[in-house]
Amino acid sequence: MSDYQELIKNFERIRDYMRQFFLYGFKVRSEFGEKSGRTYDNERRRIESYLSGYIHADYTARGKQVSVHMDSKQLSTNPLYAAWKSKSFTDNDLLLHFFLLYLLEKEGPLTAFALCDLLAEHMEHVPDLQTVRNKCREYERLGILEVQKNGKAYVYRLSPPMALEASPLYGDLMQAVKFCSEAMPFGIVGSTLLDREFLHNDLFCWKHYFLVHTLEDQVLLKILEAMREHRIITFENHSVRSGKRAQVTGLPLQIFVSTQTGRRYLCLYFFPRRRFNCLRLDCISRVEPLTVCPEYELYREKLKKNLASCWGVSFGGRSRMETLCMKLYIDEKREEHIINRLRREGRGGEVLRIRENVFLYTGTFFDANEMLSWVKSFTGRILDLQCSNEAALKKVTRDLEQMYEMYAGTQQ
Amino acid sequence: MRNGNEGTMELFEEIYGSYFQAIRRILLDAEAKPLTRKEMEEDILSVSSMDGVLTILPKLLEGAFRPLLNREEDGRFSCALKREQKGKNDSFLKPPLTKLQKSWLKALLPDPRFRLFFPDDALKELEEAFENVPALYEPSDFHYFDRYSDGDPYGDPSYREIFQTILKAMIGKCPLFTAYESRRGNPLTLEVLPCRFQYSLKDDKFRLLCVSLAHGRPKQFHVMNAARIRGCFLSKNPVPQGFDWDITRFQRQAEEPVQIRIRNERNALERCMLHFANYEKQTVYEPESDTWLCSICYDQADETELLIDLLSFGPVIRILGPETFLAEVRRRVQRQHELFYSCVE
Repeated sequence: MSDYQELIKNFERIRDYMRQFFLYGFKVRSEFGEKSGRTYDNERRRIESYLSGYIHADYTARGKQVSVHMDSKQLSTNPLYAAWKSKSFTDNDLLLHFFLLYLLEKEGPLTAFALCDLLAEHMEHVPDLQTVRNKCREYERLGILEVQKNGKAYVYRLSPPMALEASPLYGDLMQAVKFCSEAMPFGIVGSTLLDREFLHNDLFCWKHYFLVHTLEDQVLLKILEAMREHRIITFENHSVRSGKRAQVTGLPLQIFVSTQTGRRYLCLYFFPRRRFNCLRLDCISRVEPLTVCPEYELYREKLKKNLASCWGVSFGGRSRMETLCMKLYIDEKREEHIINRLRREGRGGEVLRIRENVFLYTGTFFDANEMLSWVKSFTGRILDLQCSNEAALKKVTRDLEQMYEMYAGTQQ
Repeated sequence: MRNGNEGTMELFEEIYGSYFQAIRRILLDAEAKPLTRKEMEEDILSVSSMDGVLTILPKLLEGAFRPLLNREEDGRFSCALKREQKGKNDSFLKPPLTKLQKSWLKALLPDPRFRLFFPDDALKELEEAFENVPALYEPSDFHYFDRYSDGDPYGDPSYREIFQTILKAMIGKCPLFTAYESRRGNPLTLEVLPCRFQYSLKDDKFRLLCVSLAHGRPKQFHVMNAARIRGCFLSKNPVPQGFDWDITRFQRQAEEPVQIRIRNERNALERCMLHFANYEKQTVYEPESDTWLCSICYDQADETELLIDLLSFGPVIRILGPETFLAEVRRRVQRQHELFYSCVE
């Protein structure tokens, strides 16, 4: 493993491994089939370093299996952010970073040439002019530096701090960032803001926090940029079920988020099929923007109209709308929380009290299949089920029967 | 001014990296006073737990990064980058905010949860400060399709005021008098030590994790729904000496994890692994049965929620134990059978 380095150049390299270690944790070296054993060893070692303290190794007959053990309720911050903070750099990158910040603050605006002269006073091996110029351009792209043309030369200076930073309000803003760095999209950016102030979250903790999805954020950022520009995109979609990779092209419209699993989906409009469709964000890579779609807002509006009919991420099959009715026994004196469950989890479905302790839920959505997991969460209370999708009804009824055979049938 | 907007914004940049952060910490401290090697090690470990980050120290002392430090006569190291005027220490070598960081902050502004933190005049000031910054995303870019519909009333001025008072107490680490309405609607008045706000995206609720005080001593751990706190104000009473603000000690992990066997049907493995990813769990493949055995550790307070979630998977998973948990599964499944096939109501 002589080529092992803790830091990495390309985030995609670590994304899949980290996801697999974190989510599954039961795979052994030989099951990471796509890459060589050495790649596996290097990635495993990196993850062990980034997530030290959370790594668990077991030795089974099949080999060593590495898993990540963490209870999200006990965490203040997402440990997977460490992967975002592991980009490799050269010695010059690091030295130039600190010297540029120092010299431009001390001396004011400078050309790359003048910077080179000043660097020579501090460094034994001064980087060449082109390296300094490239670093200045890179920092200009990031927003750290500003550039002005002075005759033929470009003069660089530090971007002035926001007036807000000198105000006490900035301190309050950082308290809010402690929350937002974990609870909002692209929380990793908030984490870098806290790092900048040497702060950490000491106010908030989390329930139902799905840490792994930060790994999709660069892909998400690219998609959102295309959405802002109303562009069609093309990308590689890796099906988890079949293992197949396919090139997909469509118009990105919205990101669907499950708060119950953390899964995020890209909702696209597919022109040839004239349909909306959702694809999992964690299966998407290599996003490329294509042409601008002039009717973008029209498709956004169409999608908006459809949202109330989506239970989850499915836009249904041939039958456009499916209705599910579920009659439940709820002791209304002692189990008001179950009635509340129906209302808050029913996604706009109607809840009716039929008679004492009997309630009827009716919901009409594109795809009743998506409702079945929720239906089964009421196991032990369902008096009757009706559904316009016969196959879905059969499926859930059979599931409940199988569960009886599994857990109670043997007791008879 | 040349337009520097070319190219996609990247989250993965070296300037946000742990190694850069560690060096900045050292330079800052070495600028205030010369440091020993041990102190530099402590600086590094205070900003990063990555194993390899300590390897920058030899480079800083003897290798390529040596120009950043000066070796003093007593063997300590001072920062080679000297400021002409000693200002506020933490602004030294602090990079200006990047476009990405500004753009993310701008995107937070319309979010009702972000707005909870500020009074109206502060929100106005923030809006003005970020007026010319493009937002990284818009709230309408996201559709949270399974979020519960009875989330906290973030727009309610009295909820916002209560939130801000609690926050102030937490930051200042001072006790708080609260008027709380229990789940059954009973009013309670408690003096509490506010330890943490817990937030759930699924419930869309804040809960205050706190310890009540009786006669100035810590009495009991409470979880209060922020929306059911009817009023609160800061208490002038002292915090009991030696009080430990760490709330993890109050989480009562169940003695035994729940064990489930997962069949490789209907994508159950993938769905289970994702669904229960917020719990600490361990999964082992059993080749003889071609199934996966998964142990899920859980907080006892979440037992019913976990049970409901497991039931929602139906027969593609089999709950194996512990026995009390399994007994409740059996009871519900048996009852369901009776409701369907007997005349029980």
